[in-house]
Formats: sequence, structure tokens, C-alpha cells
Amino acid sequence: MELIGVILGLVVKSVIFVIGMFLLAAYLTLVERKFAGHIQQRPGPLHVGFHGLLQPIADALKVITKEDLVPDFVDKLLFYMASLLAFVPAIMILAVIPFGEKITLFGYELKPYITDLNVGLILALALGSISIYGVIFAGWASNSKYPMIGGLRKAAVLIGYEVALGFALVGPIMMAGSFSLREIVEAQQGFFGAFIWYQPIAFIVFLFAILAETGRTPFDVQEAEAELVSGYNTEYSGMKFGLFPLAEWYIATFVLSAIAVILFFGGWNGPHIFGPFSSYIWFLLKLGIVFMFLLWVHWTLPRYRVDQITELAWKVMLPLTFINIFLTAFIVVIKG
Amino acid sequence: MDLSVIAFWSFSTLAVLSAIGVVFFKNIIYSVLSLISTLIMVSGLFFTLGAELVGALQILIYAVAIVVFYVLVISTVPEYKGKAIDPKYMLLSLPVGFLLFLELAYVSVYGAWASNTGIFKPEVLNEIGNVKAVSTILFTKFLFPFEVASLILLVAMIGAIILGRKEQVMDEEEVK
Amino acid sequence: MVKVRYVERPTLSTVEKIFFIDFVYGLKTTIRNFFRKTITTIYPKEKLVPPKRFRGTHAHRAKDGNEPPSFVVLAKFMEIHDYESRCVACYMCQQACPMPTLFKIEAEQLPNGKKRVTTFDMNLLNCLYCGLCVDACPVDCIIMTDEFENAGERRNQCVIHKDDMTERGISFDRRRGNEPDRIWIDDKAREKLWGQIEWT
Repeated sequence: MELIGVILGLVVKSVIFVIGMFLLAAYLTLVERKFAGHIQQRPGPLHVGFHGLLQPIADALKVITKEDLVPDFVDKLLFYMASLLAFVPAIMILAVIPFGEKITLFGYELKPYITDLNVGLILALALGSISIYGVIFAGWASNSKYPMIGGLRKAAVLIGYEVALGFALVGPIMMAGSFSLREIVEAQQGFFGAFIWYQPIAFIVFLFAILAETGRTPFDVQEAEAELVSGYNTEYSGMKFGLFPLAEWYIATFVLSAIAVILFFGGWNGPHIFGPFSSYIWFLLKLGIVFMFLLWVHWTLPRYRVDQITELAWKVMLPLTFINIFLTAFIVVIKG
Repeated sequence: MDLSVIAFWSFSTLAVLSAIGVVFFKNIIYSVLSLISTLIMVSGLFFTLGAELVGALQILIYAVAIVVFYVLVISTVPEYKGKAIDPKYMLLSLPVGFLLFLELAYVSVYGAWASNTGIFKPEVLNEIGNVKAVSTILFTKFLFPFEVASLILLVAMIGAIILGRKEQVMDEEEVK
Repeated sequence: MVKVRYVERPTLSTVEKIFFIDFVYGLKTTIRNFFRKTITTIYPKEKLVPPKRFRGTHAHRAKDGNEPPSFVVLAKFMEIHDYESRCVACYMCQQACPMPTLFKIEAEQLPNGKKRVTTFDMNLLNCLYCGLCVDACPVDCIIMTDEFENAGERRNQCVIHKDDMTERGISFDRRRGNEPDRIWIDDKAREKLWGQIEWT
């Protein structure tokens, strides 16, 4: 009986997380469209609701009710599976991300995370990387030139940044002495305890990896609009198409910026000035700032070529992380 | 029935099924897909057995980093080349595969009796966690094999760089 | 054999490479734009007034006393009353037009020996708004106005006739006739978007 209770609790919590993430992702599209619009001196969505506040709902209705074309000669099974393969792992990362401290409400103890594994960080990285298969297989299954090139480009980019990303995370892990995201946050106490002061190199490499993994602009080679029509999702339509940007541009970016906040900006640590929900508000505030920074970079920079990205990853970022690990080892030994 | 038992049996069934898929799918991309599935299921097995670190590393390194290379190579190879079956190599691979199977069978049967003789008790493991246990063993008892393994990897890396290096041939005209 | 010229690319200095100075410049530009006012118009609520030279829907100038001398010469052969279209059916616009079937111009000879234009239709669905007909007109009759909302629900709504063209021409001359013939309404409007021009 107790087992059923635990499972039921987990299911309810997961459903809340997934639905919340869906709504959040829908409104992140609005945030991005407004932000991009104002950067280009135009107002963005304006007419549906007050300043476009209902635009995400209209968009969702449009995408869902749209005709869902499947081209001839595509590999049907993979074609359908690819969009799920991109979406499901991206949303699964949420399982290991803690959003704040435990709170007690009406006598129940609520934990703001689904599970706290002691290898949470590795699992988050692994799931984030698995969602890349969605892009690659979408490219292959479409049986078309541009998606194919897009998928292959993504695979080539993945080989480049994944190594640098792994080594970049070694620095914060060494300082915290744990893979558990919760313990990493607990290791950063106070304003100057945040790891960004000790790990600026690792943070730059991590930013590079986030941009490359989520396919945001300096590294959006897989869907370079000017060259590849729309890249790996050229042949997709309807909600199958909608899942790709939702997974890559919004959920993955959101979740990876959450990990960036946890690793470098002290997670939910902050002065208790917002009452009982202080930790959540601090976390979401920091997360929002990191997310907006990523958007800002996206809408500013032009695109790198694939060979330039791999060159950057292997020749610049990877040596930087090695230097960082070396320096961090010194700091850890000196601090004791 | 315990939850971990259900998880164990479902993970292992799926792992075996997708392993069969790797061998028998004619379409090479489907083979790769079922390979990914096998690796993820095996990592699930590790999770149910309490080896979280190995499970997560299994996904990160095998299911992503290595299989992406396979996918990259397979996608660039034309489809008809992927379908060709050469019986010459099949004859060669049968005895080798059987030998590998024998070795694996021996290891797993041997492991059925010998697995409980590790130096960490479950209580200790629960307290200090998986990562610390693995790293403690790696840097004390098995330091020498660990270093030798990294040396082998270094040699392999240097070899790959030398093989992949472009020979700079300058024509007389180009120099001018 | 194609000759290739190698161009020395500008290189970054070490400081620029390490601290991503170019990126910082780009980020500065975008964030400055972010806090500026938007420059768009909300179309159905706000409408821009195009410059006088805008090439919009065609119109006919009327016989209102401002005719060029060429018209005065031709006028005695034509049956044209005051405030009617100046068109003398010379077919010059049809000759200049890149699209052969766009114009349908017909004229008849009256019993008193004068010529009268009966039909002047333009199928604007075929028009590419190049303005060659305006340049070709010898009597300064056909012009292009600043009206740009000429979409219709049926195809036959997109054909314009002599009468409504004359009406449009009269109203255009009344609205914009006294404006100087220039692209920007005034220097301020131009400088707002293009900045100060320094004439040498």
C-alpha cells in the first residue's frame, strides 16, 4: 500500500512538472518573440490579448489543428518517433533538477524535485544529449537533402562540444565534491561562495555548450534558415513540427540554464527577503536572467560554420577546460 | 512483488529484445536505434542494481558519444552499401562471436557466486554514495591498471592524430 | 582560366580574441535597440502617407486649365469637356507598357469630326507598377497616385476605368498638388531614419 502511495505521489508530481513545463514553454515563446521584436525595433505579437498575452494559446491551437502532412517515401516509424525522441528526453531532465528548498505546506513536506540522485548532473547531461538523436533521426527519416545535411551537422557539432562540456563541469564538481545538484548548491553559500567567481572559464565553456546543444544562434547550423530551408525539420508539419522548437529552443534551454544557475550562481541561495517562497523566487529570478542572456546572444550574433564550431570546441574550449581543471585543483588543495 | 524486481525483469527483457533487433534488423538505422535502446536498457539495469554512476555514464558515453559516431558514419554511407551481406566475413565472425559468447557466459556465471565479495558493504555504499566508492577503489587498489588504461588511450589518440593528419605536399608551382 | 585574387583578411588582436570584444560590441548594439522606441506602424490603425512620387494606383488628370502646351495643340481635335479626362487616345502608354494586354483603349470619331475616348480600362492584376506609362504620356494625363489599398474580392474589381481614374486624379491633385516633388515629405522625416547627409 505504501508503494502505491509513493508511485501515486511521483506520478502526480511528474504530471504537475510536465504540464507546468508545457505552459511555461508556451509562454517562453512569447518572451522570445517579444524580446526578438524589440531588439529589431518592432513590438512583436500585439493584437491577441493585451500586448499578445494570449498569443501562445492561439499558436498552440493553430499548430494542433493544422493539417499533419507526412511526405511519401519517408521512413514512417522513425519520422513519427524522431519528434518524440527530441521532446521526451528534454523534458525528462526536469526529473533531476531541484527548484528550491523543501517547504512544509498544510503539514505535508513538499520537495520541489522528483528525485535527488547522487549522480544527477551526469544524468541531466546524458538525457540532454540523447535528445540530439531526435534531430539526427529526423534528418535521416525525412528522406530529403536539407534535413539530412542538418542532422549530420548536428551530429558533427555534438562530437565537438560534448567533450568540452564534460570537462567544463569537472571544475564545479571538484569544488563541490559531489555530483548531486542539491549538494552542489549547498556548497555555494553566500554571495562570494557562488562558483562563478572561481570558475569563469568553465562558465564560458558551459555557455558555449548550451548554445551548441540547444541549437541557438551562433551554433544553429542544424537549421540554418539561409542555407538549409529549415534544416532537420523541413519536412515536418503540424504538432510534430511544433515539438522540435519547443523541445530544443525552449525546454532544453530552460533546463540547461537551470543547471547553469545551479552550478555557477548558487542555485536558490539568496537573502530570505521574499518570505517562505524566497528560495523559489531567487532560483527563478536567476534562471530568468540566464535565459534572457541566452536569448540576447541568440538575437545578436551571426552563425558559425560547422568546421569553425568543431575547431573552436577542440582547439579553444577543450584546452581552456584543461587549464581550468588544473587551476581548480590548486584552489581546492589550498583551501583544504 | 517488489518494485525493483519488476524493473529488473522489464529492463532485461527489453534489453534482450533490442539486442536481438540489433542483429536481425535489415535496415541499418533501425539496428543503430535498437543498439541505443539496448544500451539505455542496460543502464536501467545498473540503476536498479544501485550502480547509479555506471548507469549514468553508460548513457552519457555509450548511448550518446559513441553511437553518435556510428550514426554519423552510417548516415553518410549510401544505403545499398549498408545492405550488402558478405558470407565470407560471416564465416569468420561466427567462431569469434561464439568465443566472445563463451567468455561472457563464463564471466556472468562466475559473477553469480563471486559478486558479493566487494570491499564495500551496502551500508557504507549508501552512506558515502556511488561516486566516492568507485573513485576510492580506482585511485587506491586499481591505480596501476587505471593509469595503464589511460596510457593506452593516449597512445590511441596520438595514433589517430597521426593517421588523420593531412600530408602537406607542395607543388613546385604552388610554392611560386 | 579564372584568376583568383587573394585578399588579406583583417585579423583580430590577441585582446579581442580572448575577451570576445566583437561579441560585446554586438551585444551592446542589440541591447541599445531593445530600449529604443519601436519604429513600426500598427497598420490598420495607423497608415503611413507615402511620398508624392509613390507609384500607387493609376489616375487620369482632368482638363482643368493646367495642361501642357502639347495638349493645347491636340485639344482642338478632341471632344473633351472641362473636368473630364485629358486622355487623347494616343496609345503611347500601351506601347510603353511591358505587358501587352494591360490596357484596353478605344476611341470613336464623332459626326463633327472630333475624336472622343470611349474606353480606357486598365487591368491592374497584370500591372507591375513600373511607371513607364506615366513617362510615356505626352499630355501629362496618366499619373500614379499615393493610393495603395487596391485589393479586391473579385477579379473584375481590380480593373479600373476612365471615370474613376479621373475622379482619383482630381482628388490626388487637390490633396497633394501643392507639395514639392520629392521623396521625403521634409528633411526632418528623412534625417530621422537616414541621419544627416553631408553634401560636398
